[in-house]
Amino acid sequence: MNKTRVLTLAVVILFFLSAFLGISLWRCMHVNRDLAKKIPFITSKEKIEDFNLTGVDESRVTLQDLKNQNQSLVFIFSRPCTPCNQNLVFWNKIAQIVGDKVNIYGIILNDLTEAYNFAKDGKLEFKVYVPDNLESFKQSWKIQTDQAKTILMNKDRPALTYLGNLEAEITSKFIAKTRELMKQGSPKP
Amino acid sequence: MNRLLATFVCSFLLANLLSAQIVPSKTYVNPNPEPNMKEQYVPLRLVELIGPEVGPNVFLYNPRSLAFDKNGNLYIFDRSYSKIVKLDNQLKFVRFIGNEGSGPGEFIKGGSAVFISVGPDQKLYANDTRTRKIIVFDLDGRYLADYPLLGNLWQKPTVDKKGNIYTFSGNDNTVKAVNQEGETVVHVSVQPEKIYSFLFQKQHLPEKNLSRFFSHSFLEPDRIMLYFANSSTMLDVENNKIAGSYNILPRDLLQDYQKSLRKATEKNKYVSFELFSKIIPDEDQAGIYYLPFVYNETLNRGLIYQMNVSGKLLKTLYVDYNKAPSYTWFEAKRNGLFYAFITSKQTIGIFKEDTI
Repeated sequence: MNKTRVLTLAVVILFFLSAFLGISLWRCMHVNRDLAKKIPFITSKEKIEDFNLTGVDESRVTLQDLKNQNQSLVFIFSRPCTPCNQNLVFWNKIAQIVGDKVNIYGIILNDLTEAYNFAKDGKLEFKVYVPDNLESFKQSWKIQTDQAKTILMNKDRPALTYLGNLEAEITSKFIAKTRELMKQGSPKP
Repeated sequence: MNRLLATFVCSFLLANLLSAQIVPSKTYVNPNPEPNMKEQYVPLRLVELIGPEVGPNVFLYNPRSLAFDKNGNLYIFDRSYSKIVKLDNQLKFVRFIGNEGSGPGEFIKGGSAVFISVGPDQKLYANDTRTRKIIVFDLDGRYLADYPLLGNLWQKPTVDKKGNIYTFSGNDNTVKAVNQEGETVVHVSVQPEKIYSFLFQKQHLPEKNLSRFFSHSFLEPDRIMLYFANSSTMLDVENNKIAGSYNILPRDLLQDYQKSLRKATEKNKYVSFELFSKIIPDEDQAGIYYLPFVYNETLNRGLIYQMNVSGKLLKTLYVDYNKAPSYTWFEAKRNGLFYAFITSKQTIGIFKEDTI
């Protein structure tokens, strides 16, 4: 076998290998994009459609209110939800630590009466709200499961999201990230 | 006549002096079976909270048990981490000790029932009731050993000067101690039934309740003292035997408890006998201990009874829940300060006797 034939064979093999790898990579990216669309929750930097919330104190909140702040925290849960109760320990801690500098919105996916009954126990260290239109709110935030959601907002876009029960390390991460954003922008209005 | 009177008085005094009971130093007999009822009430004031932030981005989330070493470093088991958080004597974060898991030196995830203590050998003992083991660390957090947990131990591990670890079994009402090689070196039986007779005057309670044998203990310089919440009696265990026992209940509390028990028995309800679920030694004064917190509904106060080793009530401290956060769980007394978990806030409060 002469040198030229060996070289040609090597180039051909290399070409096919590169093509195979390229196609695989393209396919992976495509699948990943599809999967991202199917994630049952909003991801970082994703756009959120407008929504309206009513608080138990009858205050009103819209997406514009979040946009007006450099950072805010959103805790979404429903009642009754026993696992969500585990999150209350961490959410209350977050509120104790950064609640005086950042607005916190506890959003209950029930009616206002349920939210009022829950809030009046005095176990919450943050304000609670209910969506005016539950279905459009769920669509806007891509809510497909009853799991608790913790979101750190940077203006009107999520900066950090977590689906499910918080743990100590994850909570610390949220607090650290909140502080980092606070350094970048102005504090709670 | 005067001489006769003086002789009579002197003879009386001499006779009294000679007949005075001499109590051997190692025999602990309650000299005051009905503790002093002229109770002194002292309020406790919340002076400081520990955390939630104890270091740069290190927070206490769910503190459950705490202990001090001789240098004043504070060790806190935090359920949310399944780790022990070490703070220095300025309450600043030093390091985490232990890990989450089920292997050697690891705490099971979400384990709420982990109790920690620092032994006289200045080692850190952690009792994980869910994995049924006692994990030993040095004070720098290095894992040293695991010991299987014999019996029930819903309390801080009790370790004597020799390094023997005490455990308690409610099934056969025994106190056992294992040495560092895991051999049983103490095995003592106790009879709580006798005490029920004292507490309730007659045994009219279902048999199943007697098996609920819950106990707490602490180390005195020369002896282990065990408190049995069900029997409401203090026992000394030394040289593999029971040295003595005391009645330690203030009478008014006992009477209240008897009343509520009778009411519940009439309604055929199950009644727990845990009047006090733990006993806390005073780290400033040997021979003083505390029985915390009995909730007084009328006054909305949490009471802590300060007792001496003879079972005498010295004073009653209280936290006024109208002024301080409620659900307070007293854990330690050191340098004149009382350390308590404030469960409603998931944090630790430092209280001080309010002298004003």
